[in-house]
Amino acid sequence: MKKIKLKGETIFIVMFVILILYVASMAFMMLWGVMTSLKDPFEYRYNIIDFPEIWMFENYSTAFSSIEVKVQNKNLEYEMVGVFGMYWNTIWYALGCAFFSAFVPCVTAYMCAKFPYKFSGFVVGIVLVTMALPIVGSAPSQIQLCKELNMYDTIWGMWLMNAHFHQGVFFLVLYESFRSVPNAYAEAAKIDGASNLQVMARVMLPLARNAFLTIFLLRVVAVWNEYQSAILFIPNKPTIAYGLYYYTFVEKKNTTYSVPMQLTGAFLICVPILILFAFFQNRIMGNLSLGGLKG
Amino acid sequence: MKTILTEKKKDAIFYVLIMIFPIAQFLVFYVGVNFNSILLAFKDYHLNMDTGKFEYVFSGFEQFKNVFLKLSIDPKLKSAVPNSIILYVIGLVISSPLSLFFSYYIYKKKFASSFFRIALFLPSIISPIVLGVMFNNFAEEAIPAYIFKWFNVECPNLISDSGTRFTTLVFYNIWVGFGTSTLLYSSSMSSIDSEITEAAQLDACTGVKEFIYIVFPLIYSTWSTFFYTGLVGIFTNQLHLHAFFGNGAPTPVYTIGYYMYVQTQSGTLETYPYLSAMGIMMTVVVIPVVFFVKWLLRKVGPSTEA
Repeated sequence: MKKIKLKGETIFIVMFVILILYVASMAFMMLWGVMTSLKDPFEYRYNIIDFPEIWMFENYSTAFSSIEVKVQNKNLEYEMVGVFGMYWNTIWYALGCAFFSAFVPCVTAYMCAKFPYKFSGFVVGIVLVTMALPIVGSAPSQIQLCKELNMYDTIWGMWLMNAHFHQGVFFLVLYESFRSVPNAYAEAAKIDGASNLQVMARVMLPLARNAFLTIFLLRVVAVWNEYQSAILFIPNKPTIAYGLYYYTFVEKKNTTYSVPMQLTGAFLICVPILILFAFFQNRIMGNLSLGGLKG
Repeated sequence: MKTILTEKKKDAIFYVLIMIFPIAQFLVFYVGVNFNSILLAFKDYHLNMDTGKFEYVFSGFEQFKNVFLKLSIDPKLKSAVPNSIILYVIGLVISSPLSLFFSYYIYKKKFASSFFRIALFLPSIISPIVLGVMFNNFAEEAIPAYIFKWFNVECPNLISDSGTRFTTLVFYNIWVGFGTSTLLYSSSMSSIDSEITEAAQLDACTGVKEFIYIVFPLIYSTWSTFFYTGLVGIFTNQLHLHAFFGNGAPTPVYTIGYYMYVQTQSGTLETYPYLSAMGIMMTVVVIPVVFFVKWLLRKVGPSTEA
């Protein structure tokens, strides 16, 4: 009996070993990264893997003053954007994009679910088709269009680009949640004299706040970390992730350039997100499913 | 009757006012962008002798010819095509089964499953540039140093050595890519009716059998969605090369996704038509493939009906 039980469990023992190796390798690299970020850049040349002889906590203050991105301002003059400037850009960029990419699908889903016009069905159809239709390589066209619309290199332009309802599963999840809300809520509010806008803003949207918040947080994390779109669309409004890219690959002539400083810059990017994750871990992870989010 | 009509009218006005923005956004940033992409693909950027300005002019299928020509002579594209396919196949053969097994472990709530769930998801919330920079230095300098220290064996710098570079990058791609898929699979598994699995256990069904005969068929639709949507990855997966090399990745490790991104980033108005033509060609290839695979997976997939 014991033998059978053990045989049935073998797969889990194997998986456990693989998972432990996975976590150990990831943790090992992270610890090496933290340790190296606190090393003197000169010491790193001869001491790559041992503990630092001197713990250089000031690397972090040095990073704040030395990681900079060269940009062109409105008058086409060159200027440097430091870490604080990059954080400022990132906060605006991430919060704005996250808000619009959560709010627009939320409102559109509500309208389609509660106003059953033919056009609503058409909008749901658009979402299904765009999700299934893989389109590759439209970035050059996007850049060209942004330039023509004077949105290129503006953070508000990125908000507008992200204010879409048709990509991702967010719309469908919200649509299903609004469909499951009884119309009686809205009818009761209307009897009390509420307008359509009041019903939407004060009755219906608050019912979807859990799903909205989860989408918002997922998008904040995604946009904060993302750097390739920032390089393409807002090259003169560098985000903090863009700053690390610039420091690593463009500004190698910087006198402070070294592996420890690269890693210090890396931790400057991920610490705020790790804090956010620590606070909202259950919301970010617990509500995700292929159907989307459990409200 | 009048009140009802007024109410309907009010609803319609409200509907139009609220829907204007999402629809306009869709028309500009989806329809407009893709339509413009098609137009660009048939154009060329030339100096107009009459006006003295550079402008786009219709050039027929010239850009498509360029794409075909480059596919046969550009060493970057010649590496990119097989690399992208290899990457997709490896994802299918290694990443996908591992994700499924990890999810199954988490779903069965085995020892430390909550901890592993977070640990697997963690790379997904860290910026790709952060992980890329860290792993690049770790694989390049720290791993050879540790191996020498512990085993007294010389190990090449894993990223700069051409013999180990691609394998290391593929490993990295798998290593950091479990987060979302594991989470989605385990969420999908958690919706399986517990009575079904309990009945199987009463019949002395082992962990592997339960996975093969019960769990996998029940999450087959989720898995197949990953399978066919992942096909697009052949053209978009960058192998995180940008985080490792910036715009200067060595030619032998190029992927199509990376090629497209770097060309776009360093591109000018002159190169946009060529890139648009390339994007359209890929889209034309991938759409029927995705729909065919989707149809095929539905046809051959397990039936979960009673």
